[in-house]
Amino acid sequence: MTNMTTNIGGLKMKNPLITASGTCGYGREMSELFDLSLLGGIAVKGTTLEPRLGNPPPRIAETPSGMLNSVGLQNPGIEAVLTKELPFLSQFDTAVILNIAGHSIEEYGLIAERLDSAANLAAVEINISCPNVKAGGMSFGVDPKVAAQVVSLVKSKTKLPVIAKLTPNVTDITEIAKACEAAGADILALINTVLSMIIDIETRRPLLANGFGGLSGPAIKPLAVRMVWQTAQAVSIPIIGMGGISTAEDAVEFLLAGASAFQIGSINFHNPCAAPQIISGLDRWCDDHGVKNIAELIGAAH
Amino acid sequence: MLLTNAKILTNKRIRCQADFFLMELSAPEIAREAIPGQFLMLTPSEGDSPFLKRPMGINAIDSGSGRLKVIYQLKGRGTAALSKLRDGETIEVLGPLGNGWSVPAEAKHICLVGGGSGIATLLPLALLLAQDSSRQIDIILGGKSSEHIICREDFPPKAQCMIATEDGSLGRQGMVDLYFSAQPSYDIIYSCGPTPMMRKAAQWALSNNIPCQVSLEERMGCGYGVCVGCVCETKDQQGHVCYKRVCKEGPVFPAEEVFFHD
Repeated sequence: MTNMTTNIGGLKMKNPLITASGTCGYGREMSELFDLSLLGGIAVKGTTLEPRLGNPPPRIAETPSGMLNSVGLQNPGIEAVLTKELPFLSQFDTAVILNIAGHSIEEYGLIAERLDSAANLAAVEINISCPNVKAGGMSFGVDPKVAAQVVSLVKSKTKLPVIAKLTPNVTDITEIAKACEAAGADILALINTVLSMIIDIETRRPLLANGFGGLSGPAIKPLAVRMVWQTAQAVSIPIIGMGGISTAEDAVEFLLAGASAFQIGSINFHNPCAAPQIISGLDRWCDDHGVKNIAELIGAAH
Repeated sequence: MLLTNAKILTNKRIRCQADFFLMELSAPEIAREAIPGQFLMLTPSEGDSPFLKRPMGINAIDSGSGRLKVIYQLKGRGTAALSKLRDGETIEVLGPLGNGWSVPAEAKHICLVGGGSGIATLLPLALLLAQDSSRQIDIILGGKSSEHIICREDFPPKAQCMIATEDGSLGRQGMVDLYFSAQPSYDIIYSCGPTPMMRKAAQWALSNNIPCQVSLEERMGCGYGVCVGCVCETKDQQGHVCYKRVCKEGPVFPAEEVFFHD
């Protein structure tokens, strides 16, 4: 047995695996298949201040070794999440992370100030990849100043550890990473999906109703590893790596690149039991390679 | 719902031109739980390509022997990969999924309207309905040609079967609505098939104040409710519009909830 305990930026977990936001709902469906207490953490679906209808279908499409999605943050709003969804997760011994999203800087603050009342939240993860409506729809996460404003506002409104989830759709992710670190982020999570597009050649129109979508899955893994590596060199706060992880070996690669923990996303669609399989696979891999503590792997490739 | 490795007992082409395949699986735990109208997610490949599972309506449930059947039509990379699997191999199966058809006990005179691979999903419903000998069942099936009218020999003998084909190679030439009587006396109408066909069946039912259930097909990411990719627009009795997951709140919906634009 390897020591997999992960304690980063105020977030304590029994192992470094977190199921990624938007790929595990609020845990109900997955809990029918395995015990959620096996998870290091669960990042629940992106939550906004008010309920969101989400984008019209089609919202998803398969791509070579991956998929595109454009769900548009369909969710019941923070009030319903706090009162109807989070209580369900209190029966499990796992770190519950709430992913939050907004269309204005103020909206992030208004959600964040509600969070300290939740009994079972371990951290808040800020999705800064969504469009800033007041600024013409440009993502908060592509401008270091705006990203920092969101992080420091959220940080001022909650005692929870704050995770900034970064978009890869930028020229230099380390600039944004450094700005979030300076603004007080406790942890960085990267990468979110890669802005992409599919055109249906029969209809001669974009396949997704929203036009663009976010690419995820094994196809983006090398891109994500590179960005985790670069970010690990640029900041001193811990990193949660993600992007195309589908096996324990993939997870090891992210740890070696400098991540202290990792999230699994699209693989939950391909294999709903991927999470417990990757956790036990990671333990086995460490045993086979003489790794006594998972921390030995963090950044070891640098 | 459970995830299991099922043994493939049969995987064979059953229609040469229309490219329909029948796959029979041994999956006792899923077969014990499954009800008509539910579906399975099948993993065409263990690797990344194709990356997503494929939803398949359940065509036959034998809880005693633990066997399930699905019928699929060759359409793309997923079904092509499925069609190459051989008897005796195993396949990862998630199921049973979705809500399934609901059958009001008082429904005695019932009509089923099906087309394409949707016919396969109506079969277990017809067999369930036929268990009550007091029920009178009419089945209207439609398709391009006789090749597209699958399973017709498997429907209960007591049901009255009406067939329409576009080329006239079986039954009457035309669409299913050839059989839509002016004043139907059904207690409920069920439909599964191409959307235009279901829409017609729903209009026929609802304009005659007959309850109607339709089973929708949609691109799916996960099949078990977490990706929220397979939604359809719905409207409830209060006029509240929202997106519901075809895989979780469906695939069976009251027709008026999903065809409210008509």
